[in-house]
Amino acid sequence: MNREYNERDLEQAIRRTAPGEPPRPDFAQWREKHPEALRIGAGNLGATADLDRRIASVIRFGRTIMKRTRVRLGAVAAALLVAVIFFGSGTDKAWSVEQTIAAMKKIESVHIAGTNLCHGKPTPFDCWVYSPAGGADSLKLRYQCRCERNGVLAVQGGTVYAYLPSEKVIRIRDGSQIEDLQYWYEGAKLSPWLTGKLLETLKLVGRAWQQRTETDPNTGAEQIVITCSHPPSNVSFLLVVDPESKLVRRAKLWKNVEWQGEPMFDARVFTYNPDLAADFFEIKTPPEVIVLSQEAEEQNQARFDRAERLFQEAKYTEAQELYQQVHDAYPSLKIASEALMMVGLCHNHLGQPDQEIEAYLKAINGYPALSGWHVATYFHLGRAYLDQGQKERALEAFEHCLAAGEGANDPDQFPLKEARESIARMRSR
Amino acid sequence: MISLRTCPDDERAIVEAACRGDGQAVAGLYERYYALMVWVAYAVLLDRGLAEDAAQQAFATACVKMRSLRQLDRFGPWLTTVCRNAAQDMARARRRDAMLLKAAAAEQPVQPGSNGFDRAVKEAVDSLDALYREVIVLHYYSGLSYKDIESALGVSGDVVKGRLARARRQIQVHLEKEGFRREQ
Repeated sequence: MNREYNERDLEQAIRRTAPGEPPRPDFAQWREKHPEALRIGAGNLGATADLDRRIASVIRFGRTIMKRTRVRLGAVAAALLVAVIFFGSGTDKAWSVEQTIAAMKKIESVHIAGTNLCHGKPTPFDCWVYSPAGGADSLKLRYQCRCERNGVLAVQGGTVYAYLPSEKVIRIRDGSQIEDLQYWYEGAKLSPWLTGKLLETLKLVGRAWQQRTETDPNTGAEQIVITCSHPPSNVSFLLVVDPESKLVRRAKLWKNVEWQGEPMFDARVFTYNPDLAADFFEIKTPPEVIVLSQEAEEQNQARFDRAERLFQEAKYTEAQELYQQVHDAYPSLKIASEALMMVGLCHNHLGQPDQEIEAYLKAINGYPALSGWHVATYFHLGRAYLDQGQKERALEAFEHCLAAGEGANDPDQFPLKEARESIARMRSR
Repeated sequence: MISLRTCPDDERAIVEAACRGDGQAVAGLYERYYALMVWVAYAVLLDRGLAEDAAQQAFATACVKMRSLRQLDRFGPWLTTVCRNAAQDMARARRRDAMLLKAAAAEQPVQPGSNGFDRAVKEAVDSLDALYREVIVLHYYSGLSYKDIESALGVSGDVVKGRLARARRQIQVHLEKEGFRREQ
């Protein structure tokens, strides 16, 4: 048997290992499968001008924060920023820019409250911004979403603090490292806050400006109602301005250009220059809450990634130890619940069913507020019980799996389909 | 094969049109990038069917997120990142099956006369780190040139060459363990 090879043999062999024919795109089939994608995508961009992109960046700020810190806080804060910018734009652009900017020069801080869409549900929020002299260094912001996660986002100059009670963690991020924050700071550098260049930009790119004068049904006072939109960012606004003070009293933002449906946020309370304690923008670390730097979190993530590689290489003993270390390092974090689930899977491969079930139960019961991995963990728990012949418990776990996965975008995604099939098989016997 | 190296202006114009909701432009991007997305996803998932699912899902995600793309002329690298992330999410969700997938891959029929060489090569490719497997898959499975891989991944030529060289070395080490020796 010839066991020698040359470079050409190797290259040919690699090519022969390619699975199947070359992929062939079928756009019609894809379009049929993903009509939502095309509908959402259409008209959303087309932002060729950098000016337009600034607005999109501000809106994106929230998503970046959310992605990096796993808190759904920033999106609405950013939306607020955009809205407040628009608030100043007014009905007649020349009028509003001049008069509203003049009025805003007297403003050092503002408290905005209302509702925003959090996980698709209107949820109360509060946002305080302090920017007295302009410049990113002096910017302070506190944003609190009153959803079940009840997270708090605090910005102090160049540093972002994100407190998430459900994970008992305060994450610290360097704002300048968050690319999408650049326009946030740019806005903050302007004096008074959120006017100047950014407002000038909006003057250029805003569309469908309309103004009408109405009477407030509650107070009988006259108010100016302004509507406008920004098609490249796919957003539309409604602003209510006090004709006396020229300040904004109410604002709504929709994630479409037709002012339709549930607004992304609805700010009903504007309190200008509120009395705030000196330490109001600081997050005091509650007991048992860890403060986590980006570096520490990245190290933990790297440990987790090493464990993943070992798992893929079927080195389950080593992988289990590393997953356990990930859990033990910061047991309150969401990644710790995932690590516990993986500890269970390692035990499964090592033929240790008792430890496997114990790990799954810990992953589920120890993290009642973190449901991210419950769907998969319940499924594995059900499978483990089934392997042990504990059918009733298995059935219960599979049902929990389906309940936890209710509302998933794809009802057939792993492991929902598998859980349904397991239940069907068990009931048919 | 469609080259991924297009004139930046051409690419930018197509992406801009797609962003405006031009169905033809969206279709054009899908046609152009579908195979690349499948192979990028395959490098993560090691399963052709799943890779196609991941690629389709990734393109849908990309359509929704297109407005977040600031450098329109870097659509390709951005799309491959979206696709890689989609595949990684899928892989994590399905990791229970990871060993089954490996077992299935190992059971693929061996080419006549290959002395198990193909199987060993397949195992070697599958056991590479995803980072290195990606360039192997793009170069040998997809047939992309070094330049095309540069464009697709948004990395420099040196990076592509370095990854390919390290990947080949790792494959050779694996083959040596399996008793196959490279001719001197």
